[in-house]
Amino acid sequence: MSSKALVCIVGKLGLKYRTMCLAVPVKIASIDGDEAETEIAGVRRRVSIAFTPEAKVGDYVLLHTGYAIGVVDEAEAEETLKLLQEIANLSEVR
Amino acid sequence: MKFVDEYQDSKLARGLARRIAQRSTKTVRLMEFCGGHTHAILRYGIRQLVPQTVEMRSGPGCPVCVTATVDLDRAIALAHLPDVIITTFGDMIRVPGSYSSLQQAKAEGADVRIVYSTIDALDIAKANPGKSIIFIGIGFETTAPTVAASILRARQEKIENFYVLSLNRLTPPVMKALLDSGEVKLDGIVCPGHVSVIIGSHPYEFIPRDYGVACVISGFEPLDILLCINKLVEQIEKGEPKVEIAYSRGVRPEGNRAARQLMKEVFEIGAANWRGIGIVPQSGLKIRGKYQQFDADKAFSVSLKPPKEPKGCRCGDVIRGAVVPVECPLFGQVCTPERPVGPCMVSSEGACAAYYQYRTPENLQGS
Repeated sequence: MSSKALVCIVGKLGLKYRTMCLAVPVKIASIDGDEAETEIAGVRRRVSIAFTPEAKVGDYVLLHTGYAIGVVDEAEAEETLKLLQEIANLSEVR
Repeated sequence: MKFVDEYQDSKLARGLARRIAQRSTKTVRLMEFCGGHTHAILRYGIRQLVPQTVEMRSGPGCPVCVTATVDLDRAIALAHLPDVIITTFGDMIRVPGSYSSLQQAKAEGADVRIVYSTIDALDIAKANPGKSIIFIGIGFETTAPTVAASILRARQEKIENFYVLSLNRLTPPVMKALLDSGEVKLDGIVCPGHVSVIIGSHPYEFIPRDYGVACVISGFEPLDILLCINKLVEQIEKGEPKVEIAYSRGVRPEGNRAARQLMKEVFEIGAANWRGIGIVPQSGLKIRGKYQQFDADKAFSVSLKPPKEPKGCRCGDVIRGAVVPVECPLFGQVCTPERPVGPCMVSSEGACAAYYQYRTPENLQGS
């Protein structure tokens, strides 16, 4: 997939994704050395995983300008959702 | 998209906002450092969602905006050299320098290309062996490792026609400069999520310790930002400022060591010139002597006329958080995204562009 196509998809996802500090969570489909085939919104793209040697197939990584800059921690993602729910619930009981 | 949609739930957002309102008794001013946060805050109406006690100010986290005019002039002069191809991220191309822009240089015949990644710039270098390819390296710690990686790869693959003009910058030193100036009194900082993926949470620790200012690292979805504001308000109400991570699915306290190692290999830290702020010590990344064959500053010399700032533009004040964009007399009248006067209206991360794009009556109110 070309960079142009990715910019296009990313564009469709909203303006915030055009910013330079943009990093989008993409899922790793396969790994070949320090590159990985990833998927975002049904489209595949090759990205460098030179900064995330710990990334495994099935992991989500944060993709920034062609590089995976970090692996998404799924357990922490769940914890944050729970915390959000708890805080929202607190607002109901005064 | 997974890890995105779940953090946009409007019912939860209203719950969070209610909770913030319940907890917030003191009037506080928070600065979102990152331009990505500014856009999300405006886009999702977070300034209206939070109670009136919470004021949000934009900070200097827009790489294009903080690039000094003299550096833009240098990039434009490089574009006019024979057999040079300039490669850069999209936002840079439209930013006015003193006398021209990269876009204008392109119209005048210069070869200026927008790339999505430094990898694309390397590919252009490989495909054009007779030309010199200069990548204009802008961005904070999020992007700097990718620039470092491109230099290492150019050396490894013997791509000898690839150069970088390094205008990359560091976040904590400019936060320190803003706090030292005392111009804008801040109670808390919404710390940049993707910078922190790289640097972790420790580099911010001097902020609560030395300045008593709360620091919470935030993601970019509306619920991430509300969670961050909630934590900032809690800290300030309790009088216990510290560094917290409200984006733990992306940020670990230790950051990304592999990426930092690459940065350290290629760059050394030096002073940098920031629009609206001036020279900030230890805030810029220079290419080490070991890699000077890839340093556009060393490989090319251009003569520059003295820089000129756009008349009446308050971009510098916006970058420091001293004013909100609508306080600039040019905003929305003389200066629009179609005819931008300053970089804050050009860049998709610029505060003026965000206020313009989401110019609801509430957002158009001053601070």
